Amino acid sequence: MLKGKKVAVFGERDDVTGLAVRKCVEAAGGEVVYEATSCFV
Amino acid sequence: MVVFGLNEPANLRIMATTFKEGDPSFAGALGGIALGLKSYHIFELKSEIPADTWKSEMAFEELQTEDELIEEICKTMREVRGD
Repeated sequence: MLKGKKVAVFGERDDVTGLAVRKCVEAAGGEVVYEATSCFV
Repeated sequence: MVVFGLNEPANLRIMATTFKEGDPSFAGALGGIALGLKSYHIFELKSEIPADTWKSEMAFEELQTEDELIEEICKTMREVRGD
């Protein structure tokens, strides 16, 4: 599902960060084209 | 596609709906603009992620998050996608 896909990543500072999601997506073969970590509290 | 790491179902619903159909509140720049993007939460994609990466990046977060919340997150994402 992720292999070869362009992916926008939105993480949360207190949950799963954008960096952690990026590492997972890239390890699965996806291309992260945008990454952000926000705080929604 | 869009992949989220935030664990708040209400926020996930609004953001995933915005990327699919446009901003439901018509307050932002994407009001009325349907991008048609499919959104997933990283918890839904566990089977796609190599086990060693999942263990180093996600295992602790998965352990910290209650099973009921993970189920609610996955249900919310499926509903918005229309799966």
